[in-house]
Amino acid sequence: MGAALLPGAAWRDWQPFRELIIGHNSHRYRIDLNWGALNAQYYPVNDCHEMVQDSKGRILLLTNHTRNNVIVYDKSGRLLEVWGTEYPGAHGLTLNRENGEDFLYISDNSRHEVIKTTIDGKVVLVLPWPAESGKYERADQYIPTETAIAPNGDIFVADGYGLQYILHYNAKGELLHVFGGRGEGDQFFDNAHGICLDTREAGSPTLLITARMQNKLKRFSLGGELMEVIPLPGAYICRPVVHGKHVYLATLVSQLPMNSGTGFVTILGPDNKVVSAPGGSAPEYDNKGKLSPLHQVLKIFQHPHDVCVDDEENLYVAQWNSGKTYPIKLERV
Amino acid sequence: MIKNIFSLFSLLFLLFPLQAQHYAEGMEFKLGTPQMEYEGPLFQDSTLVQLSLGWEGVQIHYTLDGSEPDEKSALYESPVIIRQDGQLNARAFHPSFQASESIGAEFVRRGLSLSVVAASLAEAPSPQYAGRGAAGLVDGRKGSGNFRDGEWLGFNGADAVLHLQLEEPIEAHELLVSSMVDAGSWIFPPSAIEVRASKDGINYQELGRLEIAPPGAEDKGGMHFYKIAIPPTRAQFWEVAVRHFGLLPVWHQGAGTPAWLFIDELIFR
Repeated sequence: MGAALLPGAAWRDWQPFRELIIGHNSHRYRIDLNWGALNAQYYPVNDCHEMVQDSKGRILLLTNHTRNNVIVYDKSGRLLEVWGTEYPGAHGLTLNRENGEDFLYISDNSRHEVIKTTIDGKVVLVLPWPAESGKYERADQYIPTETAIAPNGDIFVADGYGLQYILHYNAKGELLHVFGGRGEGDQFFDNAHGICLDTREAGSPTLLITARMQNKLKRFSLGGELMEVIPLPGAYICRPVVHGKHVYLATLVSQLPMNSGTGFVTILGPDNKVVSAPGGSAPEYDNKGKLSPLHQVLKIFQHPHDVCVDDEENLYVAQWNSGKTYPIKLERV
Repeated sequence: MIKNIFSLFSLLFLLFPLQAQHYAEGMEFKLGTPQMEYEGPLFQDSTLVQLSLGWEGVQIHYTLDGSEPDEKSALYESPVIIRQDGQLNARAFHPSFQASESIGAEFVRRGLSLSVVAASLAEAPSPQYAGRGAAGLVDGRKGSGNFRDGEWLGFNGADAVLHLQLEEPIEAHELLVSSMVDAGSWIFPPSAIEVRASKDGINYQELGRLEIAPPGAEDKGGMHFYKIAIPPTRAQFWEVAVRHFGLLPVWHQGAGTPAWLFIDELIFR
């Protein structure tokens, strides 16, 4: 009984930096390094690539460890379930609600495929490498990194580690259109790593696509026309995540090489200007609207690869190549 | 029993006081590396270097002799004025965080401006790293830290032997060669640099030779100027041989295959 009185759990959770607040302006956070930490013997992770919240409020983490490619947590970081052993190159995770049911789209770098599953991992559709596009000769030229799903169910795939095309399929997986690719000019990409649907303007969804090596976020119409370029100097942005009126971008590093451990999180306001950079420098725009290069100020993160924003606007940051650590939670203050 | 629990509690509170939980105590996080802004590594009379990090209460300390800065090193208060060759290293400190890693850059005064009649390389650089050719090595333009920036000449397992014919003889007492080390990209320092001069373009006389120690597995990479002192010499024809490293050492993942040599600028003084 004596032992039960000891606040053991509280001591374990005690983190001396809990008064540290990171971020700027309207978006500031407290850090929780213990969130989601599991026994790595039983629930190991390699790279923690992406995270989403499902309609039940659960947090899903995608890792390229084939012992448990998907780890499902509650918001407090308690383990609920794990599944998935067949995604050695698990990289992109997008959740889409279709007729009241959650579906997942997994982009697998090693399988050179995109796999659509139910929320508990039953495969319902596989998009193989797009031979029919005429752009590819072999499967290994196609290394999809992310997907975005349009309101009509159309699937956009970013080939961010392959030939840099954006592939537009209908919901059945029939290829409709291809745009992007490598080249000189803003309509082309270098590391088209992330893609998402920007639904902030009611009734006219567009695509936001990261060109990570170019430190740019680009807006395209669903038809594949370049509409806008948002330069984010210093920010090697992974994927855009739209939540409310803001865009959240895990920023892998702020200087080369890509394993420099200089990452942070970038948050854009409704006007697509940086409003906050947790772990990074305060955004500064000159009178011409030009952003000073962003850089890391505190090593909270090494290589953030994705940000999940929950229904209370807390953030969960999944990291690539960060010592097989579990995600870091940022609590909005 | 109860008493024991209470004494255990008081012990815990003594060890970890609940009050004054400044996040400083954890020293959990390291500061990011300071940002360094300057016009370029080459300067005429002087140049300014700005240092910043962007976190309240951070102090940046720096050294100009190539040593690792600590909290006793010079405190950065306003832009540092560089007036002579040297390496500036800077690091950020804050009572609540671990000190940052250091950032450094080498600054070098420009040399003689040369009127080049002909510049050639005995062996051409690799086509994908051809830079601005032989003449680009003496054009006063230095490359960036990125060896793919178009200023760098890369040689894979070959020496860079430059021949220069100048319009007028120059009198020089020192040569600097800018090179790069990036072990992860298989780029190693030269093994030696030799300087020869000639009055007629036929008979060359060796003026100086610098042997360069091989790097260790832990050595930090980066750009570096090698200085070769020579007896003051007046000549119109010059030959500079930058010898490649040879085969990658046993500790390197590419052990046994040829290292790359990268150079981007030569300075005569």
